[in-house]
Amino acid sequence: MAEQFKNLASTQLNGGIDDSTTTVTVDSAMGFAGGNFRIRIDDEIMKVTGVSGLDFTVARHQEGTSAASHADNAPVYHILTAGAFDAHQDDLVVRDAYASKPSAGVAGRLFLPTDGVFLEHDNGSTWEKFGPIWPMTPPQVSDFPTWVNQGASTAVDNKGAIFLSAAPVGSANIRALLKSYPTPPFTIEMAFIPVVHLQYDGSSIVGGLCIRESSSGKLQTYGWCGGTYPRSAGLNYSSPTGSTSAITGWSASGLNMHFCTNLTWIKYVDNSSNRIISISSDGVSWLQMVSLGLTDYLTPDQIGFCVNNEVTGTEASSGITILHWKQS
Amino acid sequence: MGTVRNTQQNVEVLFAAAFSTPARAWNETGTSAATLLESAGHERARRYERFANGGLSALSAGIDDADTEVSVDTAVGFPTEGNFRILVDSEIMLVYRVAGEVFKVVRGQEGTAAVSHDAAANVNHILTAGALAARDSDEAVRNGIANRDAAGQAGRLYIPSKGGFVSQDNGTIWNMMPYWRFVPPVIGDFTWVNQGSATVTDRKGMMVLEPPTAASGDSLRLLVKTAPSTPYAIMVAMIAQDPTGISSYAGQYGICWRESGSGKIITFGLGRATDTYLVKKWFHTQWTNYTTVAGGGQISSKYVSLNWPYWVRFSDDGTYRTVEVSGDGVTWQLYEAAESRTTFITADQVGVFANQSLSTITVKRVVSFLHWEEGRL
Repeated sequence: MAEQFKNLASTQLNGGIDDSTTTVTVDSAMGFAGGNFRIRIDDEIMKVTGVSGLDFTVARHQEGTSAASHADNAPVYHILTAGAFDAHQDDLVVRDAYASKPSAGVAGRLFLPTDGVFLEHDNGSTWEKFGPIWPMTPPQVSDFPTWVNQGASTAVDNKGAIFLSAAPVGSANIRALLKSYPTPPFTIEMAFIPVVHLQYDGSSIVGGLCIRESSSGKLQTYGWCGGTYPRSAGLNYSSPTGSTSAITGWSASGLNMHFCTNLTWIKYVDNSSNRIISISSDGVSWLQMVSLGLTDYLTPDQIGFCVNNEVTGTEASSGITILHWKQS
Repeated sequence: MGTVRNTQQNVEVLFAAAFSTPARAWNETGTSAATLLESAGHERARRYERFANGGLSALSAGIDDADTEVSVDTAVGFPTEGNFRILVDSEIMLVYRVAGEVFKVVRGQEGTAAVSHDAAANVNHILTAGALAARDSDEAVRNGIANRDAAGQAGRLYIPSKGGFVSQDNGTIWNMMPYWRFVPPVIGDFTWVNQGSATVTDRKGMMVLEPPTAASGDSLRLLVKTAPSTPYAIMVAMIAQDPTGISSYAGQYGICWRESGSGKIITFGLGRATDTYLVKKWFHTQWTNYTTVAGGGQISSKYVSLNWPYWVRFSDDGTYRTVEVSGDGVTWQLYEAAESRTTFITADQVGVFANQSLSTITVKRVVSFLHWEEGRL
């Protein structure tokens, strides 16, 4: 129930109460709100959670005050308290799952979804939607301690996201930043923005999520691919500069799904039986690209993200910005 | 194409008329009486609810129940500008301007009665329920962009009531954030044409259309509704997962006009080009029915950037049909010259569609519609 405020409301206790009574009877409820609101009796702050006639249902000894007995006719004041302000602030911004969004009716209130794509504004009768906007769990460079084939590439924390940038080279060079592979089962959701060259007309990965088998140096990558048109790709690499092959079973050799150049979503699931990779354009609807066995091509012990910048001539660097890395 | 003309300007006018809101006081929600009374005489940016501790004084002269200027012994401890609240005896007043020891006030606020007060009556600056409500409405300004309050209160959000972007007041200027206002389509407003095993789902507020896959052949899955009376214009925004289409020349998802009597359809849809670049294009296509491209087939196609959401606005002014596209939902570009509203079909239905995708690709097409907004005169 939202915190309520009324001006200048006061009355008296109708009957004394002990230090644990949770129904307080007053002489008059005129001018008081219907709950939730705060009252002060002597030195005790109570939160009124319901009003029925002259009976206030209360939570005792709020905001650091002590529960005490109060005599008949003790003054009862509706007061503004620090706790009421805090509660009121929470009323103005609701953060919850989309399915748990409260009904509209508190004008000016904002709804921030934990799982949706719209920030919503309560206009007093309906929720107005704004977006697209997603709750992000940004990673930090320090979460990924291991470089593979760093060369001249860099990774920096940039305003809450990681920017991974690779200097241009003339041949395929996967630059990967990795961490230990979590204990399955787990899910990782990654969202990134590529800053890429479409100059490269081949089948190398440009950037995305990758896993690695440290004993053999093999990599498997899922992400953005340039060439004649931008698309999703799932590729095996024998090493960061080694031979390349398409992941067996990746949807239509990975050549048939356009990616956009704004936010790109990849989901990696290891359910202890399979490794399942999906992609999404909106972070809500996921398309499974492949389901692999736990040891297909490699047995991963590292996971992270990578970028590749194979270009000809004197092109500038490519990079990806990782805004979201959520493990669950 | 028959008689053509550029009707983009007409569409702009139509939309402006349909969606513009009348000029209002800046804080549309919770507008106080003083805001309305003094909108011409007071800078709009200074209309926030203000608080100060310790404001306590006394009337330097008595007032009757209608005076709108209150003289106090001292203004020290009160906010130096409006709006704020004072309590004199049992009357709450809203102070909206301070000039030395004179407060300009609105009388009898928040259910209290305007009455006369004697000289030397106490004047207390108090926090009231109304002040809190006004302060809350200060936190988010909702209005048309033309009536947006000037920046000046850091942390405040601007929530556009129609079009434009959410912005944040940094204390000096409005920092724009690229979040649009969306009015997602309501599934119940549409009926299926050729649903088959296609599905439509409300996902996190979006209307998500998922056609099935097939080995060959086009098969449009449409969600249509009765066309608004002319003149009308409809704005649509969408995000999609888009595997290769079965037929290369038809847009794979987007908006449509349909003639229910004949079953003929005109689509403006996105799909992959088949030329050297293979990137996305808009396609204008005529269909004899939902599985058969008409003799005229693909009327035109044009490249589009690889950034969602994809925006399209289609309109019928009673004479011409027009399609415009946008990369930002704000600036609209005529897709091609308008065509007569009777070219190929005279549409009585409007809607969205998605074509089935190739079953040899293990993933299927998913189209999330974020926006469907109809405007009319």
